[in-house]
Amino acid sequence: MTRTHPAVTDRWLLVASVAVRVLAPVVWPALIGAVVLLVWVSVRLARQLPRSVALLTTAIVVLSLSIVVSAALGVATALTVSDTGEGGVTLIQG
Amino acid sequence: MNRLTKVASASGIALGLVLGTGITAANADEAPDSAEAVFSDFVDALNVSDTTDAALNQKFDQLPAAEQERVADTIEEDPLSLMQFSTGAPILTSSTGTAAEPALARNIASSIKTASHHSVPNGERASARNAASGLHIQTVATNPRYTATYLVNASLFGITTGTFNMRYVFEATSTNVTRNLECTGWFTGAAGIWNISTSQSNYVSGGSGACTVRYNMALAFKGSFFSANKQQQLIYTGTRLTSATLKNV
Repeated sequence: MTRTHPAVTDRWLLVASVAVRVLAPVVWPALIGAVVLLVWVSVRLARQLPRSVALLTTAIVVLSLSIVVSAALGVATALTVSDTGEGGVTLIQG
Repeated sequence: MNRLTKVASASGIALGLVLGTGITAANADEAPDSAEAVFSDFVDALNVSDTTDAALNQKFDQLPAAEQERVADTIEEDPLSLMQFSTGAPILTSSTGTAAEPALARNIASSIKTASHHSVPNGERASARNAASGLHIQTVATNPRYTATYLVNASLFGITTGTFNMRYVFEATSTNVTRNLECTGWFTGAAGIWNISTSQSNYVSGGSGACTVRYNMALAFKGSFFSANKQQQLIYTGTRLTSATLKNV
């Protein structure tokens, strides 16, 4: 059975992490993907087999960032309130 | 008078009695309906809700007998004159403004039962209609249509990251909202960890119209263990904005 070279897997993990990083703040399922990828990359890095440490570390940073940004956006959204509304309301006839 | 003549006379009297009774019974069948029955038939023909039906009948019962007769006359003469129509499909609301009943004119035109006993001169009928105006059921006129949009931005470090949008379409006079046509809300932009779904509700009461959008924000996926909800609401009285809020609920 042919095994994928570890370095190739690491590269794909990084690509996936970047994609998730872009999507996570906007598309909520990507956030779940970010958590799954983060666990995967962390375990892979911790197994101390010959891996591309730099790639995996970058992936971890990217994924962590996506989660932090998503959380920040979530907080901003949750804290948004308005009780005057006058400025944000437009009324047109028709 | 011989026996045959006596028998014939008796038979004639008996037949007369029977026929007379029959005619009387027939007249009884065609006896005029009471004003209350006429009005009840009228309301039944409107196919309004039970609540509205009861409210209308109650109001009718509170009128003096003479007024009730006049209203019944008006119903029999020209039931549509009890209502006001304008261009567009006639929509009926009760005086409480609770329920909208479409296709009213169609039902009335085909279903109102008329009786023959309420023969009142035309002049009297006109005055009766005016006198009974307090009981008139008014259809909603096609008032001007207004569209209100309410946007609230969510921002992070001064950068807009998302927007709570709301659109409320209604018909109104300058002082009263008469009908709600549309009430929708949605979120655009980046909500981060939230999976947002919406639900809407609206009502018209006492000349005020309200549109409420509820944002159900679930962590990561719908139905998750953690959620936060928001409510965005617009209330108009006529064309005057009474309240516009976005709050956590």
